[in-house]
Order: sequence, then C-alpha cells, then structure tokens
Amino acid sequence: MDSEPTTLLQGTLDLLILKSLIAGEMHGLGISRRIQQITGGTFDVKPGSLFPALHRMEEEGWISSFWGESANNRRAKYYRLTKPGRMQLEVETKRWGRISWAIAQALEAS
Amino acid sequence: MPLFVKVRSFLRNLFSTRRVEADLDEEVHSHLEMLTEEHIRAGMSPKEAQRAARIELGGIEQVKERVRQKRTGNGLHSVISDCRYGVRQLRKNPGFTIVAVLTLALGIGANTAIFSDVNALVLRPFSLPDLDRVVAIWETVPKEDAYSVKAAPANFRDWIEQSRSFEYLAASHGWDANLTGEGVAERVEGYQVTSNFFPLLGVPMELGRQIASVDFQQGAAAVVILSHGFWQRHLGGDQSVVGKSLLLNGRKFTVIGVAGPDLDFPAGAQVWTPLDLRTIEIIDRENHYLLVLGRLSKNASASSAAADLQAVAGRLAQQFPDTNGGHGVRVVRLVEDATNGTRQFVMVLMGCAVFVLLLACVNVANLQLARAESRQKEMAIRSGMGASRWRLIQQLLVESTMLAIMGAAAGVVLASWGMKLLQRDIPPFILAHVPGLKHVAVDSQVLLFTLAVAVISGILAGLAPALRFSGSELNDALKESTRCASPGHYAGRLRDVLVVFEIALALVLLVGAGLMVSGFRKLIAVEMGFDRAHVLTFHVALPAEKYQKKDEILSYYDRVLGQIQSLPSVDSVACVTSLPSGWSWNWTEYTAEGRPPASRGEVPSTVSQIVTPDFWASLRVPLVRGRFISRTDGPDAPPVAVISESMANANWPGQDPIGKHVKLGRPESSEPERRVVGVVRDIRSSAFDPKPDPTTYVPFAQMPQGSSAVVVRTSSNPLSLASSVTEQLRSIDPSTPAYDVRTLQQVVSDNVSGVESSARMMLIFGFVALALAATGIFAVMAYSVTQRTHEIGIRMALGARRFDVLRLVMASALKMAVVGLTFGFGVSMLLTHAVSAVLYGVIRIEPPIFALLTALLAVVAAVAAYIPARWATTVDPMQALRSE
Repeated sequence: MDSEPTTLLQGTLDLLILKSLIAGEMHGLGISRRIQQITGGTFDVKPGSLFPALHRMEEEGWISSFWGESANNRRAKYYRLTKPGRMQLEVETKRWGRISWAIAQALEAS
Repeated sequence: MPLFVKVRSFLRNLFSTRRVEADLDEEVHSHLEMLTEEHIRAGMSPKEAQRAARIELGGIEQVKERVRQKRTGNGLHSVISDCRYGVRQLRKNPGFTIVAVLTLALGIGANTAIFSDVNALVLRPFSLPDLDRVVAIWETVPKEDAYSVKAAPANFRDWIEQSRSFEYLAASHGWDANLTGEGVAERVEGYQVTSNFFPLLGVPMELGRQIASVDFQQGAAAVVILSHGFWQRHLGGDQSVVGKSLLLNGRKFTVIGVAGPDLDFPAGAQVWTPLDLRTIEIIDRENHYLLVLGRLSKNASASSAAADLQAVAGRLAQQFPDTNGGHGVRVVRLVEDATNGTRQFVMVLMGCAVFVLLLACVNVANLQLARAESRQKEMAIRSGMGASRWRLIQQLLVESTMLAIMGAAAGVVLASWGMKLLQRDIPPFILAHVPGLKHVAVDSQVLLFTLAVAVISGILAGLAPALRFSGSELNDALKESTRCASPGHYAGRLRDVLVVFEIALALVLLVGAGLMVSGFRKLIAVEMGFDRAHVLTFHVALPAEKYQKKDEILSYYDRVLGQIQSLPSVDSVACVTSLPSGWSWNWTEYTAEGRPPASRGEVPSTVSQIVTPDFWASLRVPLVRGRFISRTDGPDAPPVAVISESMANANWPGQDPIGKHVKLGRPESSEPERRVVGVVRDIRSSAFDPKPDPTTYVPFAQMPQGSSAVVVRTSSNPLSLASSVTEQLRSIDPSTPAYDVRTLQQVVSDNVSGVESSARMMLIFGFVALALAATGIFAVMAYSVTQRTHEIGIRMALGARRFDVLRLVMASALKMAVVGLTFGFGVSMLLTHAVSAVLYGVIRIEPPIFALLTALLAVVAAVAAYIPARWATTVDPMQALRSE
C-alpha cells in the first residue's frame, strides 16, 4: 500500500503507456511487454501499477478499450490511443524532455 | 470532451457497478492466463507456470482494489458500499446497535430540544425582515449604572429631526382597552403607534391598510388595526372585517386593517391604534413612556447610529439642562433587547445539552472501542485484501455516523415529545409575552441543525475506535491468538481516558443541575414578606373617557370592594397599584424631610403603592410602628403615607420616622407633602431582588387611580371565587371586566417560571448524565473483566483470594473515578463561576452541593464497578485457563 508512485514516476508510467500504444492497439500484458522491450528491460511494469494506470487513463479519455481476441484466441481487453491521448503524449514528451534536460544539466554541473 | 468522458465513467461506475466489476474481473483473469501461457511457452510445467504467473500478478483482489481506488467517484461509491456493509454489521449486533442508538438519541434529542428554544427565543424572537437592522432606543439617565428609561415625546421628535442614521424611527406605548359590544366585555392588549411603526417592521398587512397620514388629520375617525390572532379568535377570521367597528373603552374604532400572522410586536399585542404626537404634549421632556424603535439606514451600523443619536442628546442636554442634563442614548439590537433575561438561561441550557451530547458520544465511543477489539480479525482481513488504512477508517466512521443518524431520528421524536410535555406547563401569560415562545417547534432549521449535530457526533464517537483500529499492528491481529494475557495496552489506556472524561462531564452536569435546582428552590423559598396563600388577584382598568372625576372612580371602587367583601368566605379585599411579584412596579422620585436635596443625577426613588386600608390585612403584612392607613384618610383629610422599613432606614436611620414628611414626584411637582403615619414590614417586589425595595404607601382615597390591582383574601380555595368576583364586577359596570385573574401563589410562581423550567430541564440532564456515566463505567469494567478472565484465572491459580481479585478490579475503577472527579470538580468550579455572573442571583457556588454530588457520583461509579468486580471473583481458575 505504501508504493504509491511519485508524480514523476506516475508521469513516466503514463508516458510509457501512451508511447507503447503508438504502435497500435494492445492488451495489458502486451503493453507491459512492449514497455519492457522499448526500455531495454529497465522498466518491468507489474499489473498492480499497470491496471490502475490504464483505468485512470481511460477515464481521462486518453485511451479507449474494447474486448478482442488475442493471438492464441483468448478473449482479452485491448487498449488504443484516442485523439486526446495523442495530444497528451505530445505534452508528456515535451515535459519529459524538459525534465531530462534539466536533470542532465544538473548532473553535469560541477 | 474529456469532461464528458469523466462524467460518463462516473455514472457508469456508480450505476453499472456489476458490469464494471465483471469487466475488471475478467480482464485480470485473462491477464493471469496469458501470463501463464507465456510461462508455459517458456518451458515451465503448467503448475509452475501458474504459480509464477500468480506471483508476478501479485494477488487478484489487491490489483482490483487498487483499480477501484483510482476510479472516478470512488469516494461516493465506497461510502455507499460502506453503508451497505455497515447495515449488515449493525444488524448482526442488535444489542450493541440499540444501546448505541438510544444513547445518542438522548444526547442528540437534548440538543434538538434546546436548539429549538435557541432558534425561536434567541435567534429569531420576531419574524421580521432584516431583523438585525432593527434597534431599540432608550434614554439613559445619570444614575449609578446608566439606568435606561423610555424616551420622552419631545426628545423622540428631536431624534427624528436631527438624526441621519435611520430609515425609520417609530414609537409606541401601551394602550390596553376594554372591549365591549357583542358578548362579554374583555380586556385587550393594545399599543398606540406612530405612523412609521408598520413600515419599520416591514410585515405586509393580511387585510386592509397600515396607519396613514389621513388618520392624523383633524376630525379623522378613530381607527384600529387588529393582530392576526385577535382577528382569528374574536372575529372568526371574518374576511370583510375592514370597515366594521369595535367599541374600545366605550368609543367606536373603525377597523382599517389586519396584520400578517408574523407581526407579533410588542409581544402579545392584540390591537394597534395611531399615536398622534401632535396632540400629546410635544414639548414634554419629563415623562418617559415611549418605546422607540429604529430601522438602520443602509450605511449605518448600531454603533454609528448610537454615536449619531448621542450627539443629538448632547445638544439637547445643553439646550434643556433641567430635563435632559446628563441624559444619553442607548441603542441596542432589538433581538438583544427583547431576549434579555431569557437568552442567558437558554444559552446555559444549550451549553449543558452539548455536555450531554459529549457524554453520549464518549459512551458510544467506548462501546465501539470494545466492539472494535472483537473485530480486529475482520479488519486485518480487509486490510490484507487491499483495503487502505483510510478506507478502514472511513468504514468505521460511516458505521458510527449511521448510528448517530438513527439516534438523531429517535432523538427528534424524543425531543418533540418532551417539548410538548414542557410546553403544556407554560403559564398562558408567559406564553403570550415572551417573544418567540409561541413559535418554539421542531422546524426545518432545527432539523438541519440536528442533522449537522448527528454527523459531528457520529464522527466524534467513531474517531477513537477508527484511529485505534487502523493502527499498524493490524497484521499482528491475524497472528495474535486470543490467548493473550490482557488486552492491548494502548486500547485499555484509551478506554480509561474516555471513562475519566465521562466521569468529569457527568460531574459538571450534575453540579449544574444541582445548583440550578437549588437556585430555584431558594427563589421560591425567598421570604417575600407576605402571605401568598388563599389570595385571589385581578386587575380592573376604568376608561378615562367614562370615569373622569375622582368621585366617580372612588365610588366605583367602593362598590367593588363592598360587594366582594360581602361574598361568603371573603376575609378582606383591597386595591393596590402593582402586585408584588407582578410584572411592573411604579417607581417614583421623592424628597424626604431632613434629607439634603439630592445632587443632580442622584435622584432617590421609591416604589409607590396606592392602597386601600385593608391591603396589609389581605396580604398579612405586619405593622412595625404607628398605624395603617385607615378609612379616615379620605380625600379631604390631611395627606398621609405609610412607609416600609427599608424606606424608613434609607431616610431616617436611627430616628422615629413617624411625623416626618415625604413628597412623591419631582421636587417642583404639585404633589402635597405627606406625613408619615406608620411603618410596615418590608415586602419584596420580586424574588430576584437582592433586597426589598423602599416603598411608600398612599391612601387610595387621596390619589384615586382608574387602573388598579385588587387582592382578595379568602378562607377557601381562591380560584373558586373567580367566577363570582367577575360576576360582581359585571353587575357594577359591564364594560369594565376583571382581567388577569390569578391566585397570588400563581403570580409569584409565574415570576420564576423561567427558572423553574430551566431547573426542570437541568434536572433531566443531570439524571441522563448520571445514567450515562453509570452505564459507561459498568460497560468498560465488565468488558475489561471479561478480557482479563485469563489473567484473573492465573492469579487465582497462583493463590490470589477472591478479595484480592475484587480489590484489583475495584482499584483500577476507583483510580479512574478519582481522576475524573477531580478533573470534573475543577471544571465545575470554573464553569459555575462563569455562569453565576450570567445568571446573577440564581446560581452561585454552593460547597455542600458540590460535595454531595461528587459523593453521589463516586458511589454510583463504585457500584457500577462493583458488579463486574464480583463477576471477576466468581472466575473458576481451571475453567479460565482451559478456555481459549
């Protein structure tokens, strides 16, 4: 109960989810694996963080969901990016750019 | 668009819970299965794969709970589900629920009842628009404590002309009249008012019109406006009453309007007629009889208006030093002015009601705390299933608030029932004349207040258990078996603190009740100086229009006294200006022989009573020196007076007052010097007065009054005389009814009826406090004994005797009692000190009452602890050790 992500981390998770969905619709496990893949295995998003984030983002209107069939003919819930979601991705990307630049600057300063 | 999406998800989460939940469940399960498949593909056995997938997922229910917490509308949704769960919990424990609800019903009901008094009597004694902007204006006279008097007409006129702070200024004064014509003659309570009076109050007429300038024109017809109540009762709500006429004091008055039902000012008014300030002496600055009201203009406040008027008064004082020298102005909000005297009692009661509520909350908190112990496992399981700490606190607070709201519902029923019971005993005279008393009821505002109180007390009563429970050691609860020696240290300590608090609160309430009751008993036991038993009283008022000459008045009263005297069982009968313990006394200035003329601003005054010879015989007041007034002190005999002992001591200490002279009224008035012929024992004007007022008695024959009280001493029940007395009066003059017919006993008790009903209420609070404290202590001790059964068993197995066990349990209870009583004693002292300043003359610190009630509460606490302690001694060691 004590592992509430900080704002920075929460923003990061949102960004990663939005980014991974750019490639197309995906179910939860797919998103989780995709994040693992694009971050070179650095981020392993557990369902306990993934699902609350997905549901929250859906209620924000950034992503939408529908039931579909997985590769092995299993019923699974798929998520796709919406128009506000794309806009949000831009916003988050810019914000992240600013933050990482700032952090990098801070670390380089001697 | 995002907002729309949010609203849609909020509604979906709230109303299609089942679908949303099923959806979530399926999603998580499909995720789990996909994970499993993934692991199988990676080469694990199905069993291993399943295990690995579960570990990776981290618990289906936990994941679901975390999603739920993120949902829009989660707060509301969880409260609703907490309510459902709460209902189930409360139904599972009907005993606990009933006790808690009843306890809270007592606490909340007390607040509902008293707040309905506060609401009607203190907050809104009159239903006038913008009541806060209406002020009462008094003149102040340079006397010891800036004594306030009503305004003199000429001063009022100058205030209107010279002040700039008021939208309206209006004046009124009492004008009671005899109503004759159809049916039996009766007395109506009326007021003469200036033309601005109704616009100032701002209440529209029910029928007809307000007083207008035409009513003041030369030769205008006499007109009257009726109160709503009078119109209903006497004219049956006749819609065509406007234009009809009434006979008041034998004169024809045309009805021009009926006031709206809200207009009850001055309280008890039945009719209003125009007060024409041109016809009365507009240069009069000596007679102070106008009750002045003002409605503040938009940019004025009560204090700026006071400064404005003070400046006017200052100019007048310079201009007319003889009449206005040193006179000032006092501006008071009407609400404050009209509620003085009742407000203090009602607010003290409100304070006590809050204490009763706190006591009830502590009791329920204790009950919940005990119950919470037995629910530790349930809480631990919920926590294990992913419920956050706040979620558990919320659950407990919701349950507690539900109890409080049920308690409030029962409390409202209890309060309305109790109020009906108490209202039945209010004397009719008081009911009509205490502003707002007629409107005391459980209305929407009272209900709103009750709801707020319920929510607050629910939270108060639930806070301790909630915080205690959601503590960090929840997981320990799962591991902890019931086999622990004694209850958690922290929980036990919290309960002890609550019990201490409870005892302290109960003592404060008990002492309050004790002092109020004792104050009331002292008031009714005050030596009034007269014998109130077997005396009937009533009033008569002769209209000046009909009885103009003194002879006519004298012969009327001679006939009245003569005919009543001849009734069987009447011992004596007499006239007197004002009844002792009545509502008003006639104070007048005087000058006494041999006493240096008073310096300006220090005018000696005396109660003047105009009496017929049998007055002292009727009230059994003894003579001290000289003689009573006799029949020989007629209109043409030398002017005489009888004085009271305190009057004699004030003017001629150590001398014989007989033969001295006293002159009533201002030094320059035409009143004759009166020779003092007798001194009588003091009687009190009111039980509230710290000492008797100096009084001067004048023979009725030498100063006949059209309006007088009559006292009749009888050897039988005085009320049985009432009908024959009114009959006699009707036979003498059918147009002058006897009114305000009461026994003298009733007059005296009406005077203290406010204190009486407060004392009664406090007594109820005291009993409730005692009962709550007793059950509270009992419950806590009983609980702790059952918790300690195991420990007691061990002690007894090791050789402790029954007496040791008894001592062990009693000692812990008495320790709490001593701390609570000490604390409560201190708080009571402080509060009594504060309250005695407000309820001056009623409540004072009385050590015997403090001691008595402290002892009483100590005994009750000991008994409440003794019963569970006895149970403890009956513990069978073997049984106790084997159980669990």
